[in-house]
Amino acid sequence: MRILVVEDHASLARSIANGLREEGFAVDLTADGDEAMQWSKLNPYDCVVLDVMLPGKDGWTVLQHIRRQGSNVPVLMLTARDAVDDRVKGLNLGADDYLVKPFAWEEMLARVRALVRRGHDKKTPTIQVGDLEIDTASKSVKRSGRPIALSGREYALLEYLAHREGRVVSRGEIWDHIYDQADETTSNVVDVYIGYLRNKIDRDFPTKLIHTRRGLGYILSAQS
Amino acid sequence: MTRRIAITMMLTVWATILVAGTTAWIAAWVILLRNLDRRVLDMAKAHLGVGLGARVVVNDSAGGPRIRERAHEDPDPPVTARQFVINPDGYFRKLEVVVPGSASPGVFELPADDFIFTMEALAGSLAACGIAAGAAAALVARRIARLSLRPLNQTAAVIGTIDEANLDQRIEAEELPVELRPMAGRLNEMLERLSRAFEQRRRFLADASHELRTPVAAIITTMEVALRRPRTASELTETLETCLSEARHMRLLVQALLRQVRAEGIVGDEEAESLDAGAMLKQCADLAGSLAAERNVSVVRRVQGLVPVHAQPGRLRSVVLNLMSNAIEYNHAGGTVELSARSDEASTEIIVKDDGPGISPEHLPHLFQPFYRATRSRESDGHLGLGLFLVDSHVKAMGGECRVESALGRGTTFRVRLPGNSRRTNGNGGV
Repeated sequence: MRILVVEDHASLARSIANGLREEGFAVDLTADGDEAMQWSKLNPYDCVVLDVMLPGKDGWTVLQHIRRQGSNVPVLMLTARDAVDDRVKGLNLGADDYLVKPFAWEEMLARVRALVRRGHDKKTPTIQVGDLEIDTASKSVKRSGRPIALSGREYALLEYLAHREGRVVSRGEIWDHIYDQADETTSNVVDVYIGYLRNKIDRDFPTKLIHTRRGLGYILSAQS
Repeated sequence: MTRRIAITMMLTVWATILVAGTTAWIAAWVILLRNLDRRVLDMAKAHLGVGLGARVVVNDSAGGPRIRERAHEDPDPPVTARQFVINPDGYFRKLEVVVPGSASPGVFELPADDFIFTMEALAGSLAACGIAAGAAAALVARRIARLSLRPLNQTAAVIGTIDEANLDQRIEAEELPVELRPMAGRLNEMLERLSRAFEQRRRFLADASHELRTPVAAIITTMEVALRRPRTASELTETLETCLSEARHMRLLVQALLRQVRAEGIVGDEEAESLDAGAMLKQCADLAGSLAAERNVSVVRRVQGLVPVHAQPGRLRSVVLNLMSNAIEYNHAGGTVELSARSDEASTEIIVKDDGPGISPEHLPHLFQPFYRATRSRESDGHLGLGLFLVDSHVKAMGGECRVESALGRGTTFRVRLPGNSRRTNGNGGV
């Protein structure tokens, strides 16, 4: 899951980005409203964390711009003002959620996860594909009740496929959602990780869940 | 107040009735008594045979002769005594007249009961009417006083409900009687000033808390993220350093806030005086000079003659020093900061001009807002965006106005316009 963090306070931005990365999110970070607007057009983010007070274009303008582009990406506004007017303004302009500084990290994480889920039309934190069970809150994976240990990247890849369950996802799309701009890998790395995932999820089971659609990409589905 | 008006009204009516009633009663007495005496005298004349039968015959062309009695035209006999007497039959009016050819006077009496009773009845009814009219006047006065005081009471009730939460409430001046409108207008003006001051305070507090929230958020998030899993010593050191620098920034903020509060307290009490700011400007230029030397910026002072201002010296000093140090700090090495002053009859303008990089137009309207920074460099150089806000509030407090002009690449000019001291000189008759 790829997240855009727009925050101009350097150390807060760094901590948010680090924290999200450690939770398996790919994070792009910018302090500049104009840059945020460009990036949100170029990259398919799963969630945008947007500070209201920014130098140059402020958060409201960035939000309006994103919505005017026709993007439905979930946006979590960060603000240091908790006046009701501000919240209402944010929600009216198309923000999906609102967090007042200073916030608890757990709450930030929970809200980001909820927004990502909502962006993929999932209401509950658990995704079920056949006998595969993914708990997006605890990031744990079970198949036939047996826990499966995955690395952060592997988990991120699986979660993304699961959100798109039953639909073909191209290598490029996967790469876009799993890696941020700091990564210098190419989309070939996706094939490598798909291989790792198959080893852990499908090898010991008769029913395969990850299927390759040649020339198109991959699909996670209980039906072959 | 209503009772006082009622009593005053009642006493006034009573006094009026007393004077008018007495006058009327005396007039009635004089007229009625003269009539009575006339009747006694007529009786006397009839009795003495004076003028009786003195008839005038008028020849009328239309009919027979007409006869008119002219008894009254005869002179009255001289009266030697007039008095009322009471005897078993009642009151009598007794007149003694000189009888021609007799040594003793003739005494004539007529009953005076009617006269006495009339006068008594008149006195009684006048008194009763007076008392009743006085009481009625008191009631009416009380009523009218209440009615005319009602707008005042209503205004008082409105004022009574106003506190810091609803300072935007105003008294409806149009609904008040004309006499009360100026008072309502003044009260509304006072409310306006209060509400503006409150609003400014509120916004400053909101901004200050906003400024504190972000570093607090940074510290909390940094630590919470760090604590989520085991960290190496160098990672922990980095976390601590981040938090320390945030905490230092917060210390700066807190100090600035305290300074602001203290400055309001100390400078706020200072009396405004008419003074020549020339010496103060020189002092400020000298003080700024050392900072300028550090940054390799030169300070030029172009102040000639008197600089008459009506201002609080502490505030004015703070304004000039703030503008000077701003101009020096944001200038480039080798730049110049010029301090000058210009006066006309009504006002004095103090001008701080630099040839630094200038400020881009989109920042200019916000420059005097608290915590506004045209450049984002909050951690590094300790600028909080309070300096120009302070300058502006000081200048406004002295009844002046602060303006800024800037051109990118050419420099920035701040102009502080203050009332000259002529205003006060006129007011004090040339002191």
